[in-house]
Amino acid sequence: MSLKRLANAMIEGDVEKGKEVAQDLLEEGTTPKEILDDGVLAGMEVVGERFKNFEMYIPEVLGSAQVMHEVMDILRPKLVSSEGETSKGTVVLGTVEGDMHDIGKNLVALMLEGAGFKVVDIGIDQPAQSFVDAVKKENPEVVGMSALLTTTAPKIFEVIEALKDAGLRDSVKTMAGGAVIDQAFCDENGVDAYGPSATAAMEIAQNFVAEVKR
Amino acid sequence: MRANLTVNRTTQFQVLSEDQCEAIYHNILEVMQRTGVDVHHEGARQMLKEAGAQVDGVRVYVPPYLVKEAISQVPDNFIVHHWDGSGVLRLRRNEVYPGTGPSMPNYIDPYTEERRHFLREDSANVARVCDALENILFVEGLGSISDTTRELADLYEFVELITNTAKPIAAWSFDRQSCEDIYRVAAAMAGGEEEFQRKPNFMFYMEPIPPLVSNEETVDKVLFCAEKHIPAIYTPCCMGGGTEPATFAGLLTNAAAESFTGLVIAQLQRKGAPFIMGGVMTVMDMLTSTYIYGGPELSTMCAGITDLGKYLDIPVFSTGGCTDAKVTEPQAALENAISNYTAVLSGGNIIHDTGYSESGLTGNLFNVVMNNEILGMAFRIARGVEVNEDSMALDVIEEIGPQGHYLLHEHTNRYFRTDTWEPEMLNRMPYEEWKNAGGKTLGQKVKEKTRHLIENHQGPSVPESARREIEKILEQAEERVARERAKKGGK
Repeated sequence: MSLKRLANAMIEGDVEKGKEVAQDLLEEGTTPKEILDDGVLAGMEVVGERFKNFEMYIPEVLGSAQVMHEVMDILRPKLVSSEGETSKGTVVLGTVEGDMHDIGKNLVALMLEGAGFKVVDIGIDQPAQSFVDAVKKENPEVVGMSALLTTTAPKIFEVIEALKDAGLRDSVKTMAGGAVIDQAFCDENGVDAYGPSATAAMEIAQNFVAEVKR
Repeated sequence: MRANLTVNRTTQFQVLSEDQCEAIYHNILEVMQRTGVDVHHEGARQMLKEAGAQVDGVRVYVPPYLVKEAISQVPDNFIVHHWDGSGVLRLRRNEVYPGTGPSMPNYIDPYTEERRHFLREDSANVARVCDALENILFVEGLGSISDTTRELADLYEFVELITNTAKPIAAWSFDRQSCEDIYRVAAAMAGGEEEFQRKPNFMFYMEPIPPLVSNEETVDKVLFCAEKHIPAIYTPCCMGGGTEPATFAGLLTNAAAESFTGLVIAQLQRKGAPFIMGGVMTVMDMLTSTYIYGGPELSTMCAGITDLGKYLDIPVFSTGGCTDAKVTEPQAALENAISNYTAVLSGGNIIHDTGYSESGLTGNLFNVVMNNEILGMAFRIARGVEVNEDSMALDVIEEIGPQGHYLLHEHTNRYFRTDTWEPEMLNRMPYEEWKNAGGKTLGQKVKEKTRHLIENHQGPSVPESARREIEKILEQAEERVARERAKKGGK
């Protein structure tokens, strides 16, 4: 029953309750793996479903993701190493050079983390080389680029070119988003996918990773 | 003699009282001093520091006296001219000038009605159609050109706009370099830099980034505008619940602090630099993360920032005529009408974004033409009720008496044209006549009128000398971009 309480804490976005229930469960002898699967992930599944059906708002979903992070901090040391490998894949994210807009990228990062990805957020106003460096270092499956402005969108093209020049283009899938980006822009600039929303970006990343693993 | 007469010369509309404006103003001063703002521009930070601000990295803590000084220096009243001398915009309290919005990636093709990329010839058409619409009083381009040299899309857009209408343009640019080129084009149209200084013929639009950040390019532009006496529109795009507080008062506080960062920098650069605070305030849609353009939140907050601007005697950039609808349908009509109506009544000076659709992603010229009609209605309502001896018509009422009619009276003949607003496209025919005349809806008429104007309206004729000068500016800009590209070794 307590597993259900944990799932509810996730859905309600109640960090304190989530941590408390997770501790209780551990003390009662529930295995960390069970807590993860039937509490944390079960709760997040409901959250994802409700958000998709317009039954939950973005701030509420982000609240749930926050509970997940806090509970994972408690569980991680106790999980056997293979079980602790909860990452669904790695995504390098950044806003391109000249653009200091943060929130779209942050929203994507939060959604991806909520879906179990490891997110490497290289920040705003990042030149193409920073994307290249991050790809070398983190070996991600996916690179996401954000640009809000007409004035900075062309920088996405520069990132793609820089990845090509570094011989890394084929080792990653790329996606782009932001107010002025669209499918045609991505097609013209050699970006693999266009994410019209944070949820879409999350789904694209999931599909990319599924493709890679196949 | 009637003593103590109070008259509403026009309809009164106010969102914030004086006391509320004062409370928000004091909080703006506190935010700028206590929380501070980020200024990503070394030169500007140095200026601010020398003027008395505390600087820590990019964070600048602006003391209230600097803001107050800037507010006392910014002109509460200045003029932007049509380049051909055919008209002026007087930027002062409650003088209202609606116009279009800038730089969207998509455009509704006025013939196929497909959503596609924006082209250079679209800029020319937008300008010519706006030139013909009596209630569109300044022009922004509605789209970012996709079929010229990429780095010069801003410059080509400005050239197409200013050569196809004399109504003042609110320009934008990628960076300071393009801003300088645009200024050269405007000076060529004015007949030289000196003439431009006397009669500026365009305004420049730039955006700080909420919350509380001014980036390098934006500060570069505001400094350049101050130097050259170009009216600067320094306006954040605020998203309540996302990049700003979710409450209207909190959002207005941050938004004004963002505008005032530019205001202080502009006045330090040049006392009396013409400046317009702004501008686009709305909330984030918490289901889709969309920046809502058609909601009542936008209109309420734009009226609020207008009240604040009037309270401080700073010209205001407001927003109206925009929609989240994807095509010209009833949602567009409804949202366009409410937002432009509210913006006009509140007395915003430069009311932009007519023709903005799909939440700021698609330019729609049909909606501009429809808004022209909406603005006619809004202006009429704003004019209010004229109450004087003649308009109260006591003698006429006495003369006609009960049971008579006013159709043939000289008083009716004198006033019905001026007191009644005459629509151009709204339909008031009896059903049968309407049906026999083709049964056209407003949407159909809007499209027909748009196409008619594209095909038939000629803008002002541009002096040959200005044309040659502009050709030269474009050539030089192309050469510069080619050099820069070669240097980068890229495409």
